[in-house]
Amino acid sequence: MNIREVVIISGKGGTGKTTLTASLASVAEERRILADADVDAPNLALLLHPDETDRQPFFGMPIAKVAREQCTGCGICEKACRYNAIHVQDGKAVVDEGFCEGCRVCLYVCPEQCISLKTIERGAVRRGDTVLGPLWHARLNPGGENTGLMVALLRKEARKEAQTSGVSLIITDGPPGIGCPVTSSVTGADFAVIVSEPSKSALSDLRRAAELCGILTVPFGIVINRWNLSEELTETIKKTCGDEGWPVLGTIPFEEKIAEAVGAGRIPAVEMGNVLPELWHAIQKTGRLKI
Amino acid sequence: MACDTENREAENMIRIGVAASGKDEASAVADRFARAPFFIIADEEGNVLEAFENDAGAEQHGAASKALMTLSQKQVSVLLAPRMGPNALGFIKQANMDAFCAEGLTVREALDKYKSSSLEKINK
Repeated sequence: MNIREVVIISGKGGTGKTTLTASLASVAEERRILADADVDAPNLALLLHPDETDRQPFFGMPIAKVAREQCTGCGICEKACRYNAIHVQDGKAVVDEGFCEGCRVCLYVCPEQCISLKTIERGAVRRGDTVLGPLWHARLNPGGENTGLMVALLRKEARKEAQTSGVSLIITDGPPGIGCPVTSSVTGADFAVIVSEPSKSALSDLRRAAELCGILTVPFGIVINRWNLSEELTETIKKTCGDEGWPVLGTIPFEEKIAEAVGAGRIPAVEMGNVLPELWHAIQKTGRLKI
Repeated sequence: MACDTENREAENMIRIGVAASGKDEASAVADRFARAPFFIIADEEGNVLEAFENDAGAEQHGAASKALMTLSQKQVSVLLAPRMGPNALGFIKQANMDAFCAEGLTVREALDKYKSSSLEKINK
């Protein structure tokens, strides 16, 4: 079984990745598995309303822990900490778990050697059934952050399920930006859809996202969302894509009925009309997803 | 540093690190580099010297630099991987390492193809 994975990214946040991910999934003919790799703001579940079937705790990076009985309250750790995350209170060092970055400097400087690292539960990796297929997503506790590790974990689970259940398509809703979690979402994917919009910052972020795909040798194409908000900037984006040889897969107009559907927690597949199946067809063709 | 270089020349070795999905040469090259489950180290002739679990895969961030630090401490200067991210590329440039694309191959095939110079270089 050959599994094909499409990841939706954007560089700039708020261009419509999640809406497009859910909409594309709704027009794909084949069975599919969805993954929400935007763990800082997981919102695919808001459109898909999953029935939870599985939940595993997720352990984040290890942070400092003080053995109170050995601590003399000397304060050396407090002076050494660059994150202002450890303070002497009532004669003992206390770690502020929200600030600790796990850099280990306190372990290094502590004369009593009474500080160690412990991993703490940062959230959960979850699986749910939705009308469009299984959804792998995650929820972080406050203070937790999305990481390359978490994205790798979600993609691994989605792939494992695809293999065991004979599903050939995975659609991943990627995180915004081009940092660690994005690299982790794109690497090894079969095709990346970069969602842009007619704004100056979106164009600059589109360029960075395209460069990342180039480095990771993942073929990609561009969708311009809400193209009619500025026809002039849409033309600029199209021209840039033409000059760079980046395929434009299609454009989606801004329409109030689309915004209303999303606002009401519905996938705006009907509202998008013919644009959507045409877009999916272009993705399949450009990404050579059918073999 | 000078001493290191001499040792390397004396033993006349280039060590190859392969990102692998398993511990032996029959296993596939991993589908990602920094979070590969294992690394297999071989000499220039393709003889496997060592296989070890990649603990960098458990890092939240910066898996590439940790994996490459371990590999360079083991005197690896050539990497066989499916592809590399921006941080890994920055590291290998600084460390004078080279990386070659071995996507879809087994570790054995990758080592053989490296020996016959038929792998494409990733860092151009």
